[in-house]
Amino acid sequence: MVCGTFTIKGVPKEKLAETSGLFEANDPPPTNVTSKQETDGTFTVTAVFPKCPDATSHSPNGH
Amino acid sequence: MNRSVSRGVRLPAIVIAAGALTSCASLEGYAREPEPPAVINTAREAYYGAYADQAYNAATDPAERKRIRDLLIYGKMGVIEHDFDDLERQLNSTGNSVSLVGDLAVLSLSGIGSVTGGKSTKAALSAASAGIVGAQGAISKDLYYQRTLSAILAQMEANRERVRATIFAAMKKPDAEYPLTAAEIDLKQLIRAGSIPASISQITQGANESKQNSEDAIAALRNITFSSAPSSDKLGAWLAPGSIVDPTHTAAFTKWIKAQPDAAYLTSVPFVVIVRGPDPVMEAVRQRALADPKLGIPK
Repeated sequence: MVCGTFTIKGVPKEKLAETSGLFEANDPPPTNVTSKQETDGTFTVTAVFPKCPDATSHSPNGH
Repeated sequence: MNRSVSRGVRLPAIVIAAGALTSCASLEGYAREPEPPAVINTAREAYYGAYADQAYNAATDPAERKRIRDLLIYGKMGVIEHDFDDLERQLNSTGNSVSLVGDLAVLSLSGIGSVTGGKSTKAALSAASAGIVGAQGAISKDLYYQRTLSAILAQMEANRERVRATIFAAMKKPDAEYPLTAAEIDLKQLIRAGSIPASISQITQGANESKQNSEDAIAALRNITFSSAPSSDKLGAWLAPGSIVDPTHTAAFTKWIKAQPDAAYLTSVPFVVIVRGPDPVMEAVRQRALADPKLGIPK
């Protein structure tokens, strides 16, 4: 079960729609997907999934 | 009349036969021990008795002390080995007899109840069968114990092998560096290594380490750099041709991931991470997907 936050950096402009779309197509889907352009012209795509259960220790920032 | 009497005699006989079969069968699965108990008791006295270390303590020549030390260590190890064998036999025979007797008794009662007798016989047998099933529920800890027994024994053997190796390596040292008192500490470790609590503790520690490794691997995939490897591009183009997500292909890929032997790990990350993850593990998964005819990804 996917939980917490996942980030892909260095996404080329022509692959932005594909990357965001594939994040959205995940089962379960993320609660939010955002993209931010970096100074080198590539994008950082961040997807937020439901919060991880407390027992899961691989989510240091609580997501 | 005769038929009912004969049936009444025959039914308990079959049940008793089932019990006899289980109690007569060899349930330990071990060959008989060659030494009679008296021999073991003599060895126990010789190597662990009040005067066991007397000759060693009296010796002054270093070579002689080492010779006696080594003999004492081997002798003490022999007694420890025997005690461990005893424990192993008891663990195996307890687990086997509990479940086998119960299973066969239930089988015989249920089988008889379904094919023979009138209403009252069936009702009585059914009640007896239910009682045994209930009793089996009450001894579920024994069944649990039997199923985990092989793992516990394997861990015990591994723990004991490690301590034995330490002792044999230390025995190469002169007595001044590895006196009998030091060997006694290692021998106590050998006894502890063959205990159930030590084995369970080791198994639990291993499971926790494995869980931690898996969680660390997932944590490393939370922040990745986009991979433009040929396998990534090929899989990406199949899942989202022309950057438009293909729901049939994504559904097929999701189903494929869930059928993989490492599904527990792979389903903990979004599948786009499998597609665009730069690390060798994700590359291997992509290669597996590309080569799988079930997905039918064009070459």
